[in-house]
Amino acid sequence: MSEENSNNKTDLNFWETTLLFTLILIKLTLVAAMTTKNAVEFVYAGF
Amino acid sequence: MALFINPTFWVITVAVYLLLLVRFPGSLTFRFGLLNLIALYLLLGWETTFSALGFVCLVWVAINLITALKTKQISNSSSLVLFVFFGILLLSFLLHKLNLGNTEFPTQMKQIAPWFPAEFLLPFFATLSFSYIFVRCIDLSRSCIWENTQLVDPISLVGYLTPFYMLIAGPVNIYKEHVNINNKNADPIPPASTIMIINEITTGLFYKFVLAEGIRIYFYGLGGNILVTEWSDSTILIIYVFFDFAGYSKIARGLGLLYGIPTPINFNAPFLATSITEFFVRWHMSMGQFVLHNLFTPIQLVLVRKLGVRWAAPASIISMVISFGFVGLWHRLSWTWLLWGVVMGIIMAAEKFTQTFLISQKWGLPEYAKTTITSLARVYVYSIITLTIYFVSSEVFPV
Repeated sequence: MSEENSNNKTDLNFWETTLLFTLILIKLTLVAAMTTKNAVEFVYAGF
Repeated sequence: MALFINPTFWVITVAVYLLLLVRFPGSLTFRFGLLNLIALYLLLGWETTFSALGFVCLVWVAINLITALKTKQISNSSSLVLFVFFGILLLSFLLHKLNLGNTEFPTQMKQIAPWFPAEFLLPFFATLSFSYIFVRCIDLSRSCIWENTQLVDPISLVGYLTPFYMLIAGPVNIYKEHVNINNKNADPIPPASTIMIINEITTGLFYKFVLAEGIRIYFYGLGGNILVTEWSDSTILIIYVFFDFAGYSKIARGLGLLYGIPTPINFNAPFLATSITEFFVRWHMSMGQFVLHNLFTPIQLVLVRKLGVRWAAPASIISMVISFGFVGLWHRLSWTWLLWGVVMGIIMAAEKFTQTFLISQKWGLPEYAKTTITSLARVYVYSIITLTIYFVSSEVFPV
């Protein structure tokens, strides 16, 4: 499924929604853990 | 500029999203432009914001003047204003790209030309990532001056030229697409799509802060910087840059989708490419599209018109080399980057001719051989990219 189509999806069932929320939560937890340890800005900043 | 790890940035992104849901009078580009100005003020302060608005107003006046003179067929005056406008734009770009901020240049300028605000301009261009504003200005000028696209008001133009969530590194958004949102019905995004978009944004954050930074910490330690001293370092660097840049692009794209502001996709699995040409169709895609529309195609057209159709092939090579030479210089104003761009242009021209030759010879292969060649082609692309990045890396990550 292309990125465009996936973002335009209009309906998600219960399990899909739960899975996505879980994924979002896991990613945010890991990001929070990393940023509190060592926060570095994007390399491409400054081009 | 630590934008994406700044909590204020995320509070502003949510506030802008909620305020855009309220149907205040005015077009979407105007409403976004106004909110973008407020966001810039909250993030960067009034001095940078008003200077950005002033710069956008100057661009707006110049384009209006050029199109008005062109309509009245006063070609000499129109050409003069066009020349001055592009001259100032190019000088600003050169000033930004020469990286003079940490040199004696501002102090020297203060003595030689006290009227020239170098001390203000250099950090101003750096804060706004002027490289991206420069390419947006070219796309805007081409659309309005030569393709008669409608020029929006200065407030809307701030939303196109300096969108706060694309400040760090693009992508290079297209002016025509930005204007066209006013002609579409802005239906609210369904909840399912909103969750998918939030997933996209968090994937971007995960790419950057977990994968890219995880790679850096693993190889160079917690506070270590990437150093390219050996060939193997450039293989790490290219993966690091991919997760860094693709991560950033995913966040920007996600926010664009939430706001209904066209924000192009920038990456599409570039390491699956089987040629360097395909690699640059999949890597920094918005820049590739910009180069194709604003440099490669116009240069090729001019050359073919001047030299004739018989010279189409050499015209294509020259256009490719010039276009990628520009891409090299766009990264850094140095001989190394120019050479990098020219080499990439030559490789792509060679790939095009090899492909044309093989098609003309009706070169057929059995299925198993095709699979092997595809795998080998991916190794070839990765090798060329890591090899070429080795030579330019010292300018991105000084030893």
